[in-house]
Amino acid sequence: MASYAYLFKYIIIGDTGVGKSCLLLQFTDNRFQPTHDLTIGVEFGARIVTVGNKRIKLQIWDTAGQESFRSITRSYYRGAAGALLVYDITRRDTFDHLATWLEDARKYSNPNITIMLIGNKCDLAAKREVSREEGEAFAQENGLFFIETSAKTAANVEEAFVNTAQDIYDKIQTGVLDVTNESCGVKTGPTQSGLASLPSAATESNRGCC
Amino acid sequence: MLAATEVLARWSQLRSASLLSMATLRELGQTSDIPQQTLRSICWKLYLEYLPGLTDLGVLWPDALAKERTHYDRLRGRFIDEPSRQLRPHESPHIPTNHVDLRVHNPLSLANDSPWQQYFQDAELKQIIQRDVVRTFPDQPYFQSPRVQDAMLNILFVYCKMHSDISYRQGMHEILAPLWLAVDEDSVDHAASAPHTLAGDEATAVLAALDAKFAEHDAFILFCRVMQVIAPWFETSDSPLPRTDVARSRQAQSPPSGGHILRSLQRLKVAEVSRSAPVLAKSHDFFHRLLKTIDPPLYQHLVTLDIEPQLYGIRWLRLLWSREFAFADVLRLWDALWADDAHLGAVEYLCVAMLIRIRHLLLAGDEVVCLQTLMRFPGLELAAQTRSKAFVPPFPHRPTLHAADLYPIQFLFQQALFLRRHTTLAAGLLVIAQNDALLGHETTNEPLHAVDAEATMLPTSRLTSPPGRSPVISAPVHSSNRQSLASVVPPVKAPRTALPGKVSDRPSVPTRLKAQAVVQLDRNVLEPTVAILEKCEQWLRLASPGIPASAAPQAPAFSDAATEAWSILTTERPVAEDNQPAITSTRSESVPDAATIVGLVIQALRHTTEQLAVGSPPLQQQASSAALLASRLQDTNRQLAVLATQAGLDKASAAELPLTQGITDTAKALFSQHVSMAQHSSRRPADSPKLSTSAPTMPIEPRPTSSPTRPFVSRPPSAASQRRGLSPIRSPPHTSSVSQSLRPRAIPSKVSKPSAETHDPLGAL
Repeated sequence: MASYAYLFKYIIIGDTGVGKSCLLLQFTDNRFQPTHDLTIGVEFGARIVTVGNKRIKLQIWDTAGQESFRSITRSYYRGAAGALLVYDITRRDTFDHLATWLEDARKYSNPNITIMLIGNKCDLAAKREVSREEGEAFAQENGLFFIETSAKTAANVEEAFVNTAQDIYDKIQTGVLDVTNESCGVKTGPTQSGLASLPSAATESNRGCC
Repeated sequence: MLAATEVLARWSQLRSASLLSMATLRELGQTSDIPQQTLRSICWKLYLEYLPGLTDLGVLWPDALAKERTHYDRLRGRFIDEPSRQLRPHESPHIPTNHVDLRVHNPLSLANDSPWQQYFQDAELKQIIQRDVVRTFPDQPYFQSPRVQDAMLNILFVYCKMHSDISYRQGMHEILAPLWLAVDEDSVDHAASAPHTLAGDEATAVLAALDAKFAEHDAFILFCRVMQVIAPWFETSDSPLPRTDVARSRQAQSPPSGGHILRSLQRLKVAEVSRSAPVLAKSHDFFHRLLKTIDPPLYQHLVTLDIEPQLYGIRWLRLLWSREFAFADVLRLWDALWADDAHLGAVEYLCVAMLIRIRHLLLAGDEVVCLQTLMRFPGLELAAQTRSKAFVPPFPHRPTLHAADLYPIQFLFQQALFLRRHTTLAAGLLVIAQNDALLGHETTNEPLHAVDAEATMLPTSRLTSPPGRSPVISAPVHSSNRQSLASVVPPVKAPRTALPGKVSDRPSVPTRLKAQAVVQLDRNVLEPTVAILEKCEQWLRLASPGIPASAAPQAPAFSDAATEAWSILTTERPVAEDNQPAITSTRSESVPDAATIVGLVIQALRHTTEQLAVGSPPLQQQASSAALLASRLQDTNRQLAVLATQAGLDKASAAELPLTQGITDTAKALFSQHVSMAQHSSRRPADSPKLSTSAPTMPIEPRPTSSPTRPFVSRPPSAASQRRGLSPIRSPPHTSSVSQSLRPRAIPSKVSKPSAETHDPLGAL
């Protein structure tokens, strides 16, 4: 039950109130809370997903939006294999601040980190202030993956986490990431059974939700 | 909102319970539900030194109230009312309409002195605050009301304008919320015109202190008092750790090895902490200083897993645990925190007490389990689940007060205060023993079967909502509702029967096997130690009933001995070269160490006995104490001999037995020495009562060989003990089966003696 092939560390970053904690809650518990306690410091979550027939444990750090958190602890950025950079499609300012967040992520994390840009709250189409195209363009300019999600309806939430894991897994397969170097945010699990199987695509579906 | 008559009824209840003594009121705040049942608003205003004590209150309170409230009026005027007036200069009676400078007084003005510039900045700040205020305790409907949110916004806004260096930081609203609630709940409408049933100034002052008109003022004042202490914990440092440091530390820590990690961490932390935010320094302090001293194995475990204290410490400290417990328990904890010390001097010790409360989960857990446990503290629930089985030793310094008299949160807080009085390994061992009893850990020969993530129902994610929060506006809990700790569910707390989430993070098999080995080792060492330390405390209390806790001389010698014992334990078998945990040590090696510990503790007792004999209490009592202790020493020595014999089953016992023989001799010598001292002294003062050595006047507990009350369980005597005519092998009844785990690999530095108690309301009683 507890065995897994790899452990990946994630961080979730972005402005306050964009739905970082709600994304994590939806992903780990399949629940949504309309008003969530705001995050003080950091929260923590874990779940196992399957990518390429491998069980992969995701260990996820969810950070406070207001905090310049790199000054609080080394643990977030240190050894993160994946970063979910979240903005709120109904609040322009959260999109405008992406560059700052990205700069932090680039500066303090390992160079091979996989970054997924997430436009959250895509269920609130009527209040949209940032178009999907703008999000895509920003992602493309900066070499990020992009997806729009709704933590409320769960649309694309699974994909956001799993696609990131898929990319990290691919990097391991191609030797870009060294699993013996913990600062990459990747560790081999306690069991290494089933190593023989070949990598294959995970639950791929990029269905748009909006 | 209360009626004036209700307020006065509650006031007279508060008055009679506290006897109008601050010391008593402070004790009640820590050990009773009096603040909840009477007037929490008054209690907190007193504890936090807004109201100046209980003497002459009819005269002094009105002055204090007027002064502080006027201050808030001024601030509010300056930051809220005045700026909005400036936006409408034409309405001002002081400025003639034709004098309004439209270059400045217009919303599009870019002039620095334009009130509109300020207006837009303020609007932004208000928006930031408001965004959090509407998310205050989302599961408490009370905080969703616009009246409450408006007041909170005003208070936070004024505070942030006053402290523009920090301004608004997330979490401040959750400090304010319970303070506002306490003030608002007990406030009185039309206080001034209320009919008085109590005569005179006192009733007027009490009603004025609760005047609903000034609820916002009062909440602001209390908020400032609390923030005075905790504001630094909201500061962030913008100097991040240089990347090279991180890289170097990772390099040093790979592959993971206890010693290396510790050393590199220590190297790092010096540079790091000096330039870090105060909340990091505080977290660093309770972990790397206090926990390391009090519970070295737990400290070592968390260091090995590289779990930084600020991960959970930030939230504990910034919110003062308002997220960690059910709301009613938060209020109760704050009663105790303020009552203990307006400067919150117990905070770091509470952090340690909390860690020790969940140490069995932490020690058995891997990184994920530990993080989840720490991020969602299950300590009170664990106690609630098993409370019916719990035997809890009484408080060391209050023989009459038992854990069963307290709410679980209050007991946890008392453990923190105990650790503050005695920041030692011995105190840590006692707290561990208390927890083992409280959590129902039975002694068992099967190692480590009880620690199971599933059994404790840890949720996968701590992001699940806290279902334990009970409605915030609850009727006061009457004493008839008050249940003892023996009942299953705490009185005003919803049981967490159905924790959501699934368990996917049980300790892996290798981890468990390793932990088993370690537990087997350490139980042999720690069990007798804890049992004997506990007994020692009990004896000392028995022996010195008249000595106030703060003056008791025995604690330093006692804990020093335990510390020394620990050092011997950890130095005699140095860490293996590869820095792997020393899990291969066997029983036969460790038992002689247990004998050594007992020897050291008995030495400490001997010092204590001497101190008692030369101290100030009446001669008769001294002699009795000495006699009692000496006889108890012999009893302990018998335990020791048994232990040594047990050791002899695995290993030649010759080496141990001289030690026990020596102690027997010491005890005998002590006994006769004290008896002759007593006889000698009793001849001199004419009025001293005659002392009969064969029948001490102080009641001494009879010492039958098989008393039913005796906390030691008889087992068939071993061959060796029979040969030597020793009493049967006994083992302590309630020491832990699971809580003692990783053997410390680092030698703890000499623990400092407990600092002189500066503020000990309980001990002073």
